[in-house]
Amino acid sequence: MSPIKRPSYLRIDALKELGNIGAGHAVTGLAKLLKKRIDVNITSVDLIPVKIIYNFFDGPESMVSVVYIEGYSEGFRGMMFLIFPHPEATRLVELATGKSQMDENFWDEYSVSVLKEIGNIMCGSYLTALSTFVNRKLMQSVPQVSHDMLGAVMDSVLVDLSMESDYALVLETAFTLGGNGCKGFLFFVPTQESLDTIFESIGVD
Amino acid sequence: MAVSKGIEDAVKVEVAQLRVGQAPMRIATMALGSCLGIVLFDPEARIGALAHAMHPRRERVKNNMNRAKFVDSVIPLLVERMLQWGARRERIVAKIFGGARMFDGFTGCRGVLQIGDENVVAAREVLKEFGIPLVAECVGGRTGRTIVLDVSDGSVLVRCVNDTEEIY
Repeated sequence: MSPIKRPSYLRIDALKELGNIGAGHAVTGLAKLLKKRIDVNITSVDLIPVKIIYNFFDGPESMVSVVYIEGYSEGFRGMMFLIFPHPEATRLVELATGKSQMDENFWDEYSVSVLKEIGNIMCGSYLTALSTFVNRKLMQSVPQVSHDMLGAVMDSVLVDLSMESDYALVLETAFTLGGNGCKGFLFFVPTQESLDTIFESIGVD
Repeated sequence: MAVSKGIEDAVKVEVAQLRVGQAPMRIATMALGSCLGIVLFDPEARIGALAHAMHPRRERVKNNMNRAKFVDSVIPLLVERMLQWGARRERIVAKIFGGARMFDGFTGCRGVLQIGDENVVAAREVLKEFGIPLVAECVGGRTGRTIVLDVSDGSVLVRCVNDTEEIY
């Protein structure tokens, strides 16, 4: 396995700041969508190797709901994952729709599209903040939702990164929604090339 | 871990790794998505092997030092290891699992989200090339799978996220 290409401390700080701004925008977007007074605490923003993602959950077999979106423009590509442990995603959709999880067919098309929209807004806000930061227009793909084992969902996408390296830099944001204690993670995984683009545009060596 | 009950005693194979073993060993790999779980088994010597491969073809990828990562390079590697353990080439049979498409209707920038299908095709081709009969498979679809190979009889337990279990 190739060793992780570790950026300088200055670069890490710049990335963390970028993550902070992006995540701030993202969770504000979520609070607006839910139209409820919600305390959103960002508990951490960090830079981690991809494999560690499993440690935030109950290992590769834990049941999660994932919204996957790609942000891209010329010379830039990043994958965004909004990951909730499955019960938390259920609670979030309850909160947004007023449905009850006791309802039959709770996870119908409507619930899935609500979750997609949550992903859209959060990732969109993140990417908007990022595009200001790197001074270029970023497009975003249509959101995809999958409820399955964490490892199974991630491998489909990380297979792409692994063509170049067994590691990647991940900006991780953990947040909780006020009294409901809804916990989620937002991961931003830029390609190595995109990282260089980011550093270049913000002038950090 | 909620879902992994019953496989605590099994030897775990991680992504892009492989294991070979003899009865009564149990070998498991967790949460196969588009990745392919490849099981080879010699029923007479009761020697089995399991690999968790990510990509179909080795030469298509730059970062290709690890032979266990690719379907086409890990199959000969598994055979080689099994022969060292005393298996006989002509008795080896194969089973494949995984190769799902976790996100629907969307190819990703490089079409990688369809890589599950390619993994399955590659495995069938390579096995044919090596003359290893493919005796069972549970591939494709939209679901992740955890598999457990019981080397004492070559049976493979497949478990999906909704806790359904089947034996292959």
